[in-house]
Amino acid sequence: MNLIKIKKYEVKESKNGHKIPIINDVHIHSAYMPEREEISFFEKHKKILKEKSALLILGLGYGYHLKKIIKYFEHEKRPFHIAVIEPNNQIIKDCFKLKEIDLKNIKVYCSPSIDDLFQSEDFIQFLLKKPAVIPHAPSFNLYKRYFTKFLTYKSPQDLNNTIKTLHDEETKDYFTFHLKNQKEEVPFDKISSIPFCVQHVKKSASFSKDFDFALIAFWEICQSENKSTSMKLGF
Amino acid sequence: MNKVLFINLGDDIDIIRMGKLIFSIKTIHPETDISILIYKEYSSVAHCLRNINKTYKIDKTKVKSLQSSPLFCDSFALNEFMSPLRKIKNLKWSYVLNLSHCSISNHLTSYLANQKHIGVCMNRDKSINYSNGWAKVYHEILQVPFRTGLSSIEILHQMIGVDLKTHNNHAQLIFYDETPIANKMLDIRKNHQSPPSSDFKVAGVLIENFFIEDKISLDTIHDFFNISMQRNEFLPILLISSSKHEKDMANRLQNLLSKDIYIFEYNTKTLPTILLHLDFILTSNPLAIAMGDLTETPTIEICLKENVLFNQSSTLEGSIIIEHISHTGAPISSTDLLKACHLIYQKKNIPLNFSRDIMAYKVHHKNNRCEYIPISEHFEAEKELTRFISKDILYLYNDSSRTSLLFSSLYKNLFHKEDLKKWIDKEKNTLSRFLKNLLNCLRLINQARQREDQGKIFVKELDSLLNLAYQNSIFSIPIHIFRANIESIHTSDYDSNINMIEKELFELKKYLQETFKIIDLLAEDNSDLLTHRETHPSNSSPKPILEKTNQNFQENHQDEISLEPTL
Repeated sequence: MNLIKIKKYEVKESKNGHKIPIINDVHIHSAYMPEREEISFFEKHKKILKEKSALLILGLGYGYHLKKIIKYFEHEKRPFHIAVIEPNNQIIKDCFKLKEIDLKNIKVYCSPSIDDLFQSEDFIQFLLKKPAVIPHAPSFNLYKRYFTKFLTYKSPQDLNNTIKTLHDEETKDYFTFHLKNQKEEVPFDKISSIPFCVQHVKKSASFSKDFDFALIAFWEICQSENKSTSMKLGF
Repeated sequence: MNKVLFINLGDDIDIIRMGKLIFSIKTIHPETDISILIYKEYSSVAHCLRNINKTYKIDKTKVKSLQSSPLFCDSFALNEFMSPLRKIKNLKWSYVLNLSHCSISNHLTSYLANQKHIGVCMNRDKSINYSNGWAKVYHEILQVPFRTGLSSIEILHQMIGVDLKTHNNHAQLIFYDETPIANKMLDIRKNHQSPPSSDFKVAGVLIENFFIEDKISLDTIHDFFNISMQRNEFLPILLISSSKHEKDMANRLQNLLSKDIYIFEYNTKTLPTILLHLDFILTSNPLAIAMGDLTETPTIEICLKENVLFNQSSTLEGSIIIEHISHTGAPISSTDLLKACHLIYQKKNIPLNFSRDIMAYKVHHKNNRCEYIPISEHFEAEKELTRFISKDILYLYNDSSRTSLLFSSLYKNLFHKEDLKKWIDKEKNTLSRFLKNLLNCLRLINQARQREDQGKIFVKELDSLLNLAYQNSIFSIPIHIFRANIESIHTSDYDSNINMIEKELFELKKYLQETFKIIDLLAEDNSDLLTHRETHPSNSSPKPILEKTNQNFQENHQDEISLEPTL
């Protein structure tokens, strides 16, 4: 399913001479004074900026809305991480050319497929920083289906998908073996997944492969309680 | 060269405790290459330790976040988990040592060790594999609230088969930041030491947890600071963490005192430096106790829980442990704290009359063992006898030589003959109850073998036998070992299970008999023991004979223990 339908892409100048993209006849920035957006966007999200230093912005446009935020963090001398998801590659190219904002401080992700986005190691590392998600309203409305799918995304957990994203051969071979040998045992309402393999190993009378030990250790870490002694001791 | 991997998935205290073990191994086998596998959240503590070749870290928080979020495929969590393990797996380890008590480390040891492990790992048939008897003690008996007087450091040394080494050079054990805290500490000493004297002492008072449940009041600490500063025998300095509560308490204390006191804020990185510049420390914080051990800073451990188990206590010769033994009695007083301080730094005329509800112990090394000797006037003979003899029993089980029985040769004189006799009688009675239960089990297992429906009756009896492990008796030890053995059985069919359990029941019988031999031996010896008093029931006597027994003990073992004759 194509989530982004771009029939028309134009670049116009605002009343005060700034470039603005118009997609499918929708103005991505103000047709009068787009640079004012930097203040209004900043003011609207000021409270979040005080609490969070990682931000995920939905929509890049030509970046007018990001200018003040970057200035704010630089002025505060706080380390910050800003990532932007922009589904339209042309916008990104033009934004780079325009140099309205310093893109070295932000990471821009562009992928027509949400699945691909969530398989990017780099993007996942960023998400682990637990960023605040801030939509840029015109971009969000334009790509509503895309961003809605992004915000409601759940990763497929089946072994086929798992194997594709595993790093080392031992683990890949291990789950490929499981997939081949247990296909018929998987109940209708279940999928063959890592938790399913864990249950299988736990139920077996013995550990047949070395990796069984690692898999159980992995699963027990995932299920373990978090406790920090340092916190407990008042450090 | 031996390449050894330590798996330590414990917290920062467990990691610091490992330091002493690493030092002992490196002293005996300097060529050993030691690497460690720990959780990333404790890596800053691990950086304090020396003699570690490489530190591998599992980022538990990241693994858990990746796995628990529906946004990510579980493969990302598995990749993250496997990232340090992939490097370790391909290295040829001479040994993999499991120092943790969790199923995660047991499975990881099996994955990484290739059969060469020390501690616990899992067998392919899912049974538990203990590398030796001490591994069983470390992983099973240390985990239950049973007083054996064994510290985890001592058991780990026994498990690996190395002597508990002491040292003179702290730099060999621990990294520490010498500036600016070190300079500050040196300045304090200079300012208060005119003319310079080796008698002048600086004591750290780490107040964390002191005020919980009013075990120690702020007034007590106020009196302690006031008196010690007036006497000018040692300078107390207050150590606080960054918590608001402790800062508030420090301010309140300062307001109560007429003189300014030194207040230091510490964290895991600065604590070793602070400890290195102290003569001794008063604390209930297990991390500070473990660091005190590494920096050879004598510790006065204030045990705020009842019934100190010693498994986390200092193993440094001369350290003191103070235990508050009653819920209702008077709390620990400033006089008790001051007495403990005198014991630490003075060698003569030490009064031992702590408050009635205070039990105090002093750390003493003998035969490569770390003993906790009662030094307070009042103590429960029965409880202490069980502790001393339990430890002997565990040593006997694991090296089966009479030389491991230190109680008869060294510590028996601490107790009244009558107390010992009473204790022996009680233990004999306990044994007859245990044996009755055991014999019932043996009878019922035979019936269960013939008729499966009898299995439930047998399991019920077995359950009541296992519950005996929680009684305060030396015979609980074999039951604990039996329980560990039963839990490690993993067979799929009924008959094999029955056979394995029966084998373990006979093994238990053997252990109970061995334990009884020790009781018998003590009963024989007891007839020769000098009686210091004719009558004395320990619980009712207002002034038992500890001073005398100590004196007597001192006369016999003056070269072995630094306890001084009393009053």
